[in-house]
Amino acid sequence: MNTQTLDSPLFDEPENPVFDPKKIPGNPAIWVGIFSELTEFALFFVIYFLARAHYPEEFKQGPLQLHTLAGTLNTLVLISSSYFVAKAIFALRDNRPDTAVRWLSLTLCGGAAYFIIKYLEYQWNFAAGITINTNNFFAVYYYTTFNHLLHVAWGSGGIIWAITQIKAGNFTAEKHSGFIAAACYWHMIDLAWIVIFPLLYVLR
Amino acid sequence: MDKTTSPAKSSRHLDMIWLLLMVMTITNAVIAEQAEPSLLVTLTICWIIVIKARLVIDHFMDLKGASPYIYYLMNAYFYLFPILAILVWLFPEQVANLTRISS
Repeated sequence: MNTQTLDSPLFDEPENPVFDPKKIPGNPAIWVGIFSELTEFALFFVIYFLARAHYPEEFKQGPLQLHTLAGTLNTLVLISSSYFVAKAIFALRDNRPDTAVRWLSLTLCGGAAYFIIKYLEYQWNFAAGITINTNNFFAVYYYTTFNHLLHVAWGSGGIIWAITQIKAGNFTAEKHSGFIAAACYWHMIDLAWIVIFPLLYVLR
Repeated sequence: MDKTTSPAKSSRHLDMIWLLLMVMTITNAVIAEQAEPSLLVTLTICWIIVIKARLVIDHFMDLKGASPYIYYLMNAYFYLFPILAILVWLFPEQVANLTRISS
């Protein structure tokens, strides 16, 4: 019988750990979250591909009925907000917390603009008689975009929290891993939209 | 971030990346409004997805220096779905036949 004890070499720290904690942006927990969210979006994409294969005509005509300008504006807004987050990180690392807060405030404005545009787009759809029950393409469209909308809300919460922590002096040029975690989550939201926009609005 | 470069200076390259992403998004919008569906258009759209994702991952997220597990998994994700989009565009009937529940 193996009588391994806790002080045996088996339980020593490995010399080369699989994950180097210094090379994980933010913290490990946020990456569990990010990959979980990306898995959720992956399921939506797989559903899109399967529905597209089974109902090709609906997916060929669907994008033509959507408001391309709204989708484009939301893409521009999300990419810009990601850029603002990246600028905020550089500002904080340069020991300019006030500038970092200003960049993050612009990110929040981007999030708010996204909500307004999405609201107007849904209203425009409803006025044109496009609902979740119209056909399979629009069912996929509403489920995917509304799910993404919820993630923008979570991400905005993370950005608000980062702003409060910078203002409180808890995130500094040297110590700001929590801010990096919130930033990575926001970038993930942008990345998901980078796939959603062409699939729903462009590809026919 | 390169530690030998000042943050203010090195953040300037982000401006160019942002501009590039804006141009690619507008290109996508023009394709959506004007181009007729074709293999070339589909390939272009999917190529733009990959490039945009790579730009965000490499420059905005700055994941190049991160754990390779994170970096390569993130990259793989944004290659996988454009490739699937091309395959479904090329072989819709085969995909439908493979995934049909009832005969």
